[in-house]
Amino acid sequence: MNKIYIIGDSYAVYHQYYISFSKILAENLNRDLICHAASGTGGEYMIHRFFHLFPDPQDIDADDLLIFTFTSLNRPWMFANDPDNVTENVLQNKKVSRLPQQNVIDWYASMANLDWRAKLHDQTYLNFLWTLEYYADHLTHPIIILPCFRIEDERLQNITNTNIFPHIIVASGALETLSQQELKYKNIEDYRHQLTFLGDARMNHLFAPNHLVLAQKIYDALFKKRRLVLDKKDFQSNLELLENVGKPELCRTGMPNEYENFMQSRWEHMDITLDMEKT
Amino acid sequence: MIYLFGDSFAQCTYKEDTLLYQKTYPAILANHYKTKVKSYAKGGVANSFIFKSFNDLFGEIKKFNDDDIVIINITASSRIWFWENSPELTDTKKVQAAWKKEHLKFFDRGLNVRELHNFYKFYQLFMSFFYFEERERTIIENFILSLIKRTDNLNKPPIIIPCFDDEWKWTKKIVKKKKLPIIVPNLHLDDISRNEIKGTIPTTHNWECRINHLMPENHIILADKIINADKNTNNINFKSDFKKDLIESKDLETLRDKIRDAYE
Repeated sequence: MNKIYIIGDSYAVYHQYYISFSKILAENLNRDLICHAASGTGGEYMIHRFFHLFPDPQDIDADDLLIFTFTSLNRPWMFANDPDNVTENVLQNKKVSRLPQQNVIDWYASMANLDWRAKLHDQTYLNFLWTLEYYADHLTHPIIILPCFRIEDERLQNITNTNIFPHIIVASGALETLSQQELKYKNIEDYRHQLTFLGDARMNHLFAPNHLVLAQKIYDALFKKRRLVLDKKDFQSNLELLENVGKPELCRTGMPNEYENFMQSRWEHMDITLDMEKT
Repeated sequence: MIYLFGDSFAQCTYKEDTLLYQKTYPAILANHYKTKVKSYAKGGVANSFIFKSFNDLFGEIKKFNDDDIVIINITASSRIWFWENSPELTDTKKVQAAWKKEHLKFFDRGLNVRELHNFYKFYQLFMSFFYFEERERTIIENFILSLIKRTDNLNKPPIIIPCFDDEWKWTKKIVKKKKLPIIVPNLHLDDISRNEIKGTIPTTHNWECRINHLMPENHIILADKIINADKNTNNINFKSDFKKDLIESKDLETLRDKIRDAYE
């Protein structure tokens, strides 16, 4: 059976019991879904993982689909075996005695991401797009790239505005924007504090109705040659109170619990059939 | 056109009409191919600078001409491009050496003591805790693979000449394993450079007066090897022919003028 590979960070992770855009695509297209995403990781690790999985372009079958959520290059890959240790909150759960203190790590990361040096990250993505173009040479379908954050969207739009990558479809817009507009804020001041995603019970930081919209957009881009625009007007907003989504005591990441089951139950009977009529 | 990207092993320090320049391998190549050299190489820089200088030219739609020659050095991944306007100050040794040289005028570049302190701390942390092979190899692999589509119209595949051991091993492995249309030598440049010196190589930074760290005899050989690089096997044999023990290490400091004369 042909496959859909999805690679990236938490915007790409997959869980069999939850609705996600990748799962919707896989079910509608009757393909195996293979997820190689790792939450919290940055761009360098994503590229490393891709090379590890697919040392050679021929390791991907011609009819397979490849979807990336382009995660942040501002998350430096600092520890070989802790790729998700990107300066925030992750260390709490790990043995860190051999590592420098958190404040040292934060300082290092901030220096690594100085404004001007962030421009160098563009080079990494530019090179990777050329690399993907090489990988895509024998593929039937273009490679889909979904920018996770607004800065990645800006970066990719700057790089790809000349349409020099015929085998790659880069979405315009960021998943982050869609994720945030789903939430209602009681108090906007809570935004920074709450939106660490530590307790985000949503799959890929999106609710099911928007997964369906996203899957449809990807389908249309692949098979109906439509532009892939993550325009927030096309997605639902204000679906849940921010403080509910972000309550750590209500939801532990990766562990189904009462709250996650509640979230899931709201959408479990949802029709996830895509409009696959040819236009 | 011959395009050169890299560090001090590729930098063209002298003007084209000088005798010194004519004895260097870029000039010999230019004479052979009856074309010009465009060098975007700069001594001391990190790979991020080298990749950026390549992307600034060929990141987007501009293509090479079929008969262009593209030579890229890959340098030590332990070098960090820390200051935007001082890309050559990439490790603590280079910063120390530059600090000692008055003409470098740190303050004119907008660098101050605090900046210097930050660099030392950053570099120390990088080497002690945050340097690891997988990431550095990934960055190099990403660049090498990105070349394939961008250089697919060249009559002669791009030539990557790694300067140091680790990067050479990684490059060789990547190119060989994936059977990429890229020419890589079977030795790194630093090895050839070091073999020219008889005895222990000084640890100080100001002894080097060879152009591209090579004596003129080996410039000729290097150019010859690039010209004869086998397109079918993608190999350049660096393991033979290069001259060894050309200079006594004890004479290095005093032989600056003599070495310079050798080029003339």
